[in-house]
Amino acid sequence: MIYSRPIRTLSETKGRYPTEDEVNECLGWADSLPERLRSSNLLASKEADIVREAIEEMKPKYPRFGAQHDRAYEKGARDLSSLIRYAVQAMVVDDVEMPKEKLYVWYGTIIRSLGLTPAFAKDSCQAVYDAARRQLAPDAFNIAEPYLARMIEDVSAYPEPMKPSVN
Amino acid sequence: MMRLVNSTDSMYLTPPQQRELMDYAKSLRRRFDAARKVQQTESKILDDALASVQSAHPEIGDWSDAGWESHGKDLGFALRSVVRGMLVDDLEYAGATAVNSLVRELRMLEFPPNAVRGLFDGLKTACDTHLPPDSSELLAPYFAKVSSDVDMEFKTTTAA
Repeated sequence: MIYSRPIRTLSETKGRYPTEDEVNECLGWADSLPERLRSSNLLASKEADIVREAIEEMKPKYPRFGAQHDRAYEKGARDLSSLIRYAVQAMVVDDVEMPKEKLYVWYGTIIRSLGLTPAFAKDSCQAVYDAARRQLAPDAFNIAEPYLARMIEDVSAYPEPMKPSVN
Repeated sequence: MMRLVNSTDSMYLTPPQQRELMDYAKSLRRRFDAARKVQQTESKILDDALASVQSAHPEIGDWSDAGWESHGKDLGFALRSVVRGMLVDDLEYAGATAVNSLVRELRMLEFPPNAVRGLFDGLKTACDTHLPPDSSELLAPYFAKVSSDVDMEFKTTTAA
């Protein structure tokens, strides 16, 4: 499955020509692409700082996390980077559903199996969101904001683990 | 563009990839213009394509007996698939959807291979006739791919 707003929009047009609304939706994406790419490049350049800030914010909230899980913060940093990159891809292609379909649901399943609670997942992603808002200029953050907000919602949308293993 | 986005999962787009994406975005308006022009002249395009095959292959028989009316609808679907392939910049798309099913249907009806090929060539020629040059130029690579797929379909099945 290919994810992008124009591609996704046109995938609904099987056997027919696109409507004027569908054309305008695609052209709107095309017109906004330079701004999306600028924001994407800024986020890429700030990713390490954002992840570092997010982890530092999480440490006092979950003081036993590092002891409960092997290489907790190293893996956590890697995972947060992946989540950010998918959110950024979603922003570039203007498809807020794409990361959920490709990563977030699967990721939630994995961390649930490790005993990480939805609250923990939500707090992690919120920490990323807050760090991004601090690191980026307002116009760059604003275009990424809906995708980072969905990241918080979609990553944490899983049931409580059978055996919670975080604080 | 479809392939580009898939191949960059969990990565940021490199500068060359960003340029490729921007080029596609910049071309969208022209692509939609071409699609609109096809839509506006679709019935003429289809009529010309069917007429050219009918006159070249009278052996196929009377219009209604050969089910030409039905094939006209299928050919319209195939034309829209070519247009959609052009819109999403995907050469494989037209072949993967309506074209292959139409080809197989016509083969089941024992249409001669050159008549089947003639239908799609007629479609291309009719587009060249009824569309402005820049629109038919945009569609050309997709028609070329369709012709190649039609030829491959006959080679593959004959070999089998």
